[in-house]
Amino acid sequence: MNRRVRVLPLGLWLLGLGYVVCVAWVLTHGAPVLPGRKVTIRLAHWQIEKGPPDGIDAVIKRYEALHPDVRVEQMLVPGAVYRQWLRTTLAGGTAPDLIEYGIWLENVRDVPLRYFEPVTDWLMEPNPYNRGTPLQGVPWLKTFEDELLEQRVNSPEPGQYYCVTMSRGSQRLFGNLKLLREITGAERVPATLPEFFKLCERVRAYGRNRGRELMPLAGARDNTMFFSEIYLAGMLTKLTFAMDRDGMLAMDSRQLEAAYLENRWQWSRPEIRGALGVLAQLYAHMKPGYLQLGRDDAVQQFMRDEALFIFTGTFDSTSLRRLAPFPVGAFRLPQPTRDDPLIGPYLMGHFVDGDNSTGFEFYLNRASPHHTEAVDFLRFLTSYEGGRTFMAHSGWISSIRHVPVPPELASDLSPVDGYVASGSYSTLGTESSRLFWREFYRLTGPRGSVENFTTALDAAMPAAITADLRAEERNQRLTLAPRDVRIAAIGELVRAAPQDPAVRLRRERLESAQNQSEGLALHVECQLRTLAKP
Amino acid sequence: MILATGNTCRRGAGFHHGAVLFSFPPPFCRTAAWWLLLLPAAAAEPGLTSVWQDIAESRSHLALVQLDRLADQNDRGAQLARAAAMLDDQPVTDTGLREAEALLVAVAGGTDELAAQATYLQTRLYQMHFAQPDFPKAAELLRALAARLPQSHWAQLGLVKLGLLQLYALPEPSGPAARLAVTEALLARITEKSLQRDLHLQLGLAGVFWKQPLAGVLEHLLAADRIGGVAGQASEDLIAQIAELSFRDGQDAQARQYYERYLREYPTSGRCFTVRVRLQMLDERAAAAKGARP
Repeated sequence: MNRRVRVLPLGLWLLGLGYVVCVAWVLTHGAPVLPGRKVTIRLAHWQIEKGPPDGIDAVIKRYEALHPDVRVEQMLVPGAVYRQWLRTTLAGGTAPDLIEYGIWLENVRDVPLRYFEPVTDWLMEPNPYNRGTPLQGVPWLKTFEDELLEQRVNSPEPGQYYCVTMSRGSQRLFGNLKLLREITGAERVPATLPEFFKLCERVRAYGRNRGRELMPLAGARDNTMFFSEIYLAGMLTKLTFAMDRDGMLAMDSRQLEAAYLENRWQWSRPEIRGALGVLAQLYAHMKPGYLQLGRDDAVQQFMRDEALFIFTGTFDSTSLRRLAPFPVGAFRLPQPTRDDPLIGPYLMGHFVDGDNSTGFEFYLNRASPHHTEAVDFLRFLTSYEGGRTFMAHSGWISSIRHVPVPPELASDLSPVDGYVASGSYSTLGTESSRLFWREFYRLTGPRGSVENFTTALDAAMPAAITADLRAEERNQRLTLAPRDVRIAAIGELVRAAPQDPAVRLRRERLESAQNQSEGLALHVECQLRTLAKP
Repeated sequence: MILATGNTCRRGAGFHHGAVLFSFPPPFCRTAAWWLLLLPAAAAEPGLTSVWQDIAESRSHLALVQLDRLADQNDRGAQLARAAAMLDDQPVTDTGLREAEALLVAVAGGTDELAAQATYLQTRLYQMHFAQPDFPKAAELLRALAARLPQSHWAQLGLVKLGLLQLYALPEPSGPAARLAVTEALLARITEKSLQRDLHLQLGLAGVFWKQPLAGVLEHLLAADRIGGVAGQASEDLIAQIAELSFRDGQDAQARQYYERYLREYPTSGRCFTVRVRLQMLDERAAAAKGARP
C-alpha cells in the first residue's frame, strides 16, 4: 500500500494538494455554506471618497442588529467604471437590490424605466422607523429636506418617484484656515467680489514675499466649471427673467437654447460680456494651465499649501477636512456688487450660491427578489436615526428633516436667500457646453479677451444649439415610443379589473406623462423647423 | 416557479459568496428556464392578463414566448397583445412594425374596445414608431377613430394626440390662431376629465409659445388646474405659471392667490424667493392704487 502511494505520479500529488488548498480557501474565505441570515441585500454606489462608506457601514451595523435575519452588503464601485458596470450587471441580471444612479449619467438614461421600480406608494406612507421622533406619522416623502424635488423634476415617469436620497450638498469655497489667519489675521472671507479680489492680491504678495508658490485659488477644469455655472446663472438673473416668456419664474437649458435661436440673447450682449469679464478676473487667480488639470490636481494643490482656497462641491468636504494637515473652513461665495463696472448695472440682486437639493440617490432594482426587505432597509437608511448615524460617520449632511446638523458642517449649506433663475449658460446642452469649454482659452489665455471669446461663441453656437435641440427631440421620441406599449398594456389591465383604482390611476399618470412629453417633443420639433438656421 | 429559478440564477448571489459549491453558471440556468418555459406540458397555458402584465413591465420578449403557448392563436385579444409586444421587442425595425400593423388592422375590424385600441396603436405607428413619422396619416386615422367609436377611451386619448399634432406638427392650418382654434374645438368632444385637463394644459403652453393674449392662455391653464391631478413637475410649474402670467396681465388678486398657494405647496423650491419678491410687488401695487384713489 505504502509503496503504491509512493509511486503515484507527481502530477496526482500536485492535484491533490491543489484540491486541499482550494477547499481550505473556500472554507476560510467564502461565506458559510449555510448562510447565517436568511436574506442578503446588496447596495452599490460610487461615493468611494472619504466618509460615505463609513456612514453607510454604521447604518448597516445598526440595521443588522435590529434585523438578525437580514444581511446588508455595501458594494463600492469606482465612478470611472460605474456606467459600464451598471449596464452589464443590470443586463446580466446580477445587479444588486439597491443601486445609486444619477439622471445626468450619459448613455444610461434608459435604465430607470427599464430596470428600476417606482417607490411612490411607499413614499406616501409614514416611515415606521421614525416612531418616537419629530417625524413620526409624517409621510416618508415629506421627511426629506427638499421633498425629493430633483427626483420629481427628473422623474423618468412624471408623477412617479423612483428613488430616495441620502444627503444634502452644495458648493462652497473651502479655505485653509491656518494660512488665512497668517495672511489676514482672521478666519473670514469677504462677502463681496471687489473685497475678495483685494484678498487675492494680498495672498499673492504674501507668497512672493516668502519666495513660495502660492495662488489664491486652486485651479482645475472641474472647479472652473463649478464656478462658471453658479456665477453666470447668478449674474445673469435679470436677463433670464426678462426672457422668461412662459412665466415659469425660471428657465431651463432647453428654454435658454430656444431663446438663443430666436435671437433673444447672444454671447455678445453687454451683460454677458460683463459677467464673462468678472469670471476672467476670478480665474486670473488660478495657476496658469489649470484648464488642463482635473479635480484631484486641484485638491492636491490645496493640500500642499499651494493655494489658499478651493471651490468645490461639499462632496469633497469630508476628504478635505479629514486629509488636510490644517483646519479647513467652508465659506459662501463672494457676490458682485452694484457698483462693479463690468456687471453692476445688470445685476438683479443677491443670488443663491449653491443649492441644497438632496442627492446620493438609491433606486430599487425591479429584478430584486427582496423588494420588501430592500425598501425596509431604505426606510431605515433615511430615517431620523439612520440619517443621524450616517451624518455622524460620513461627515455628509443628511437629507432628512430635523436631523441636527453639527456646527462644523452647518457652513456647508446654502441658505435660499437669493434668486434662482436658471441652469447655467455655460452648460446648456452637450454640444453647446463642449463649444463653450473648447473656446474658453480665448477668454483666459495669454492673449485672451471677452471679445475673442464671445465672437467665437456666437459664430458657432447656432449650430451647436441646433444639434442639442435635435438630440433632445430625438431622445424624447425614443422614450415616448415604449410608453405606447405600456399604456396599451395598462389599458388592458384596467379592462380586466375596472374597479381597481390603483390601476386606473397608473393609466392616467402614464397617459398624462406621455401627453406632456409628447407636447414637449413636438414643441421642440416645431421650434427647430421655424428657427434653426441651415 | 420557473421564473423564480431564473431570477435566482440571474442574481448569482450564491456564486459571489462561495455558498454554492456545485451549480451551473447563470447563462446556463437562464437558458434552461427558457426551454422549460417553452415546454407545453411544463406549465398551464398562460392567461392574457399575465401576458399584458409582462408587456406592462417591459418584458415584451417574455410576453411573446407566452403568446406562442396559447392554444387559440387567432383570438383577437391575443393578436392585439402580440402586436403590442412586437412594438417593443428589440431590435425594433420598420419591417417588424409593418408586421405588427397587419395584426392591428385585422383586430381593428370590429366595433368593440379591442378594435378601438388596435386602431389607436396603428395611429401611433405613424406618429411615433416608424423611423420616418407620417403625421398627416396619423391625423387621418385619429379622426376616423374618433368618428367611428367616439366614446371609446382610445378615441378620447386619440383626440388629445390629434390636438398635439394640430398645435405643432400638421401643415394645416398654418396660422397660430387657427391652430389653437381647431384644437380648442376638440375639447367639446372629449368627455374624460383627465384627458380634457391634458389638452387644456397643452393649449395653454402652446398659447404662450404662439404669443397669444395672456387672458386666453390663462383660461386654459386655470381649467387644467380646476380639473386637478396634473402629473409630476408640471403641477408645480402650472401654479407658478398661472401666478406669474396673472401678475403680468394685471390680474392681481388671482396672481396673489396662486403665489401664496405656491409658497404653501412648494415651500422648499428655489423659486420661493422670487415669489416672495413678487408678493411684495403686489403689496406695493395695491398701496399705490390705494394712494391714487381720490
